[in-house]
Amino acid sequence: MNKDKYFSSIIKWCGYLLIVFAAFNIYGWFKNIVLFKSVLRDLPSMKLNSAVAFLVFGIALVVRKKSVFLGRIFAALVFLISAFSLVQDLFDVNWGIDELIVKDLDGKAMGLAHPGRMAVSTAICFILIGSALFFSNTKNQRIQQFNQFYWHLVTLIAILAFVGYAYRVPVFYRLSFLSSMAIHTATLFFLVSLAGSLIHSDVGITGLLNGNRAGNMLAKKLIPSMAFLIFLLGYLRILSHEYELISDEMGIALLSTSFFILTIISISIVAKQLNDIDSKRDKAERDLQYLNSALEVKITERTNELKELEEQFEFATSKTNIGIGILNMATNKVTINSYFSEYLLGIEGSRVIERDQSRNIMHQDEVARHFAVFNNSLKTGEPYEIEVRSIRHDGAERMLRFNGHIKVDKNGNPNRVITLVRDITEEKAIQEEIRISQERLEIATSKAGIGVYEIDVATGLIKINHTEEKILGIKSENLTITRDFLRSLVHPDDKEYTQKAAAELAKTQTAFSVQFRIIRPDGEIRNIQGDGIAIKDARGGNLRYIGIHIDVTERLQAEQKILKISQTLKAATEGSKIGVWDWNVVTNELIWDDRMLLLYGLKSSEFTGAYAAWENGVHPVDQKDAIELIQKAVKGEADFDTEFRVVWPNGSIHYIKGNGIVQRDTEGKPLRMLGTNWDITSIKENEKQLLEKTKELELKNKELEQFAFIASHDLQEPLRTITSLIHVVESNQKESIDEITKKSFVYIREATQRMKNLISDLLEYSKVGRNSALKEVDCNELIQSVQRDMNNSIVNSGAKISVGELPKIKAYETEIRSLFQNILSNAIKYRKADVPVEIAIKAEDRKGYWEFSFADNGIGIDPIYKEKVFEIFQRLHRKNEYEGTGIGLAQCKKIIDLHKGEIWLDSQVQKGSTFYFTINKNL
Amino acid sequence: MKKISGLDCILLVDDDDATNFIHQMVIQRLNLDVKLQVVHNGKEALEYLTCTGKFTNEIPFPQPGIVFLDINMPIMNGWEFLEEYKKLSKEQKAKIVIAMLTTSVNPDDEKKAKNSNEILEFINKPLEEASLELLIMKYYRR
Repeated sequence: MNKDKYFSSIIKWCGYLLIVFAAFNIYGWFKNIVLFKSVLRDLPSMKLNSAVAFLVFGIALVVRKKSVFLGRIFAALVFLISAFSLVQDLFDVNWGIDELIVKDLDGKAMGLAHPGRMAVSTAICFILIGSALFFSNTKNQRIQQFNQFYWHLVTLIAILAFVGYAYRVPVFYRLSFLSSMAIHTATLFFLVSLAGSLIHSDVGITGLLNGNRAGNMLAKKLIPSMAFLIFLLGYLRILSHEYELISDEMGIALLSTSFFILTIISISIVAKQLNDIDSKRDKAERDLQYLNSALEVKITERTNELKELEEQFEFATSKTNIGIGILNMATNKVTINSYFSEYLLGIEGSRVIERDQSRNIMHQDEVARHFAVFNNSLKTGEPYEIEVRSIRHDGAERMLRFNGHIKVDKNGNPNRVITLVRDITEEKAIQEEIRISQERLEIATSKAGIGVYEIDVATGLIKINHTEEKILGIKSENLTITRDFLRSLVHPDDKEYTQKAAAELAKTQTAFSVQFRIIRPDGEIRNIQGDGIAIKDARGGNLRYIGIHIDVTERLQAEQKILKISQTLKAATEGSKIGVWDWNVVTNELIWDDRMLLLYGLKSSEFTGAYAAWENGVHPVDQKDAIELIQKAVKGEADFDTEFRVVWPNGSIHYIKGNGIVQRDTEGKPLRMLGTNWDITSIKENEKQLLEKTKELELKNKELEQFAFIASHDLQEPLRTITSLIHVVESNQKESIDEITKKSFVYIREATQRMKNLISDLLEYSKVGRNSALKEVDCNELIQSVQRDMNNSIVNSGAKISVGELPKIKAYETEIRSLFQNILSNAIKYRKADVPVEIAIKAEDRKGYWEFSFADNGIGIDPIYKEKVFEIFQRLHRKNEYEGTGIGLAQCKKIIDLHKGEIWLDSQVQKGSTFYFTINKNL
Repeated sequence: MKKISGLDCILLVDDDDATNFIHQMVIQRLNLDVKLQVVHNGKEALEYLTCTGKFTNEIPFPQPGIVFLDINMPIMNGWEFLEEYKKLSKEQKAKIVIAMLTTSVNPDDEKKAKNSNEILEFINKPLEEASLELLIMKYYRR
């Protein structure tokens, strides 16, 4: 390759040389410079035609590599120029092309037949090289050989011309029948032909010189030296002849002898050199043979070693449950060990199998995925790892892990792949178990708000769970958590003692518990409760620390709040008889103030400080309810506000009123219960007494009512007797009765009648609320019924009664009837003498009660008697003015009291009265 | 007819006509030369004493020496009358003996009457000749 390039550049430079020479020559012709035209005056000149041909040929040599076409054009041009010249010679014609540009005065002077025409030999040479160059790109070997032959022919002609000039044999450079060739023309032909023969450097004589074999060497050594020797001897012979130094015979004899001697010397030198080379080769062959045999021995040894190794390897791998397959990329066969064959494939022993068969250890669905990974690894040369499902020969589904390593040859091409196959089914199952249990742990810890971390002492690296991330306010995917990082989060004020605690843990303890603050990356300060243990190795050194963090900020804040409340409460209750208690729901710690101890009859030394202390104090009968209520309060289902009894150690029983509130953290988990207790024994006793008294009173009231009822009834009897007796006296002594007696009898009759009325009204009054039950009462119907009953007085008085829409109420019907009747009859009774009675009855729906109003246009009541009219036996008028007992409105008041309402009036004298009363809706 | 010096008039304050009739009969039986005036409540009694209202008159009525006062009356009862009576000028109430006449057996009333400076006597109804004589003896015939 390099040689070709080298030769090409030689050819190219030869082209430039031609161009320069030709240019000089052409210049010489124009300027008539002998040196440029013919070197010496008497020698034949290079004709302008030849120079032009050389110029063109030079260009052809220069461009031939760049453009085959141009090369060919120029080659053909040279051919044509020379061919024209030759045709002129052959057919003895003159087309005038010889002296077309300049006159060949030298040629004319030398007496040439055709001055300016190139020599015949020159023309032939141009034809030869022109055609050789034209066909120089052929691949045809025969044409190549012909070309080479042309180049060599031109070389020979040039040499002949040289020899002719050297030995002064014009015939040689003229070839007798040809015109003479200029010496520099010959030189140029010589150079050009040598250069041209390099185009196909392995053909012809050039090929002979241009090789490494013994023959080439011989040719290289002998041809130049012999050529030179022969030329030199010939030259010497001619010189001796010219100067007649020796006779011709002597000269020939000397020539032959010296030629003989020099030839022998020359051949001897070359032969010796060849012999040396040959013996060296022999030695090399011998060495090679020796090496070969040594190598064979070594190979045998290595093979044995390898076999041994293989056996050991087989033994080793058969025990380790690792399948090994070595794929030979060239043969596409896989060498497998016995585990691979017997356990995975279910065939006998370690052996070599086809690659296709080795794939049977995978589930067929996995083959493509494996192939992709495998191919990628082949490309990169990196080891590969893949886990695949496998159906073992016995049908069991297994998980296998392949670890493949690519081995390459010295050219870097992969030639073997070693694959380790492990059955990881159990390992996978365990991993899954671990994963699930870790997941559970994660869920559990995150629900409980527990951050977990694990410190590897050797590396200082820390693994943390999600909750820990949340607690620390970081994202672990963005950073490597180290022990130093964790320390950097600790609040500067807390660093000293936390590190001390950690140091203690490392040295002596196996567990630690410490509370400290951290500053999160975003600047927020949190309170952390940290607990940790150290996991030791066999020698007692710490391998790992496992710890938990709980964010107690909210709890601490809540505790602070509670502390404040409890202080306030303490201040508030100091001096009072209220005891304050504080129960930490989390730790079950119970704090009582001194008053509490007094309430439970305990000395401070007897108080255990735990929740149970309270339970134990509660009366056994009340325990269940009280404890249940506490639990409900903690759950948030009820308020703790209750009463229970406590039994003092001395056996006395005391009533306690207890209440409390539950403090919770932000998630609503109960932290504390805080409350009070006070002794309500005396209140309880008072209540009991009050209840007894009330019962007594009720009983008495009933007796009284019973008495009133019976008394009123029995009182009627004597009154009737009096009336009857007065009647008897009057009829018996009709004539003898004087005025005074007559008047007295009137008064007696009136008095008894009044008595009757009083008793009857009193009876009514006492009957209010007795023997009656609540029922639905339609007031519209009721008022109509009352009006029917009072028809006489209404008609007589000419009263106009307008009744609005009245409600249906829940009430005591009989009593409501009396109420309506009383008020209506009052309105009619206390009417103005000259004005017809007008009464308006209305009802309003108020919140929780009905409000009725009875408005009349009667004589009215002085506002100062507004309340007095509702008192029993209170009358505003004399009996002879308006008849009445003074019980009616008192009865109304009693009826309204029964209905949990109020009765009042609005009136001015002579301007009518409006009676209002309300009836509670919730009776 | 006997004239008892200083006792020109007896005022009966009671709303019950029958009672007033009986009391008039009892007083008449003592055959005294005295004016008997009947009013039906405290208000009328006050009007009589001050010559206002119903009893407006240019010539003053004879001042009653004894007032028999009922407790339970419409418009103005005995106790209310006493409250107003206290406010009268000395001349208006000079020489008046107020005797509370009542059917009340309520001891509270008697107690209240005894604690009152204006009430000199507390007599249960009906008024009898003996207790009237005793009263006149006590305050007018020393």
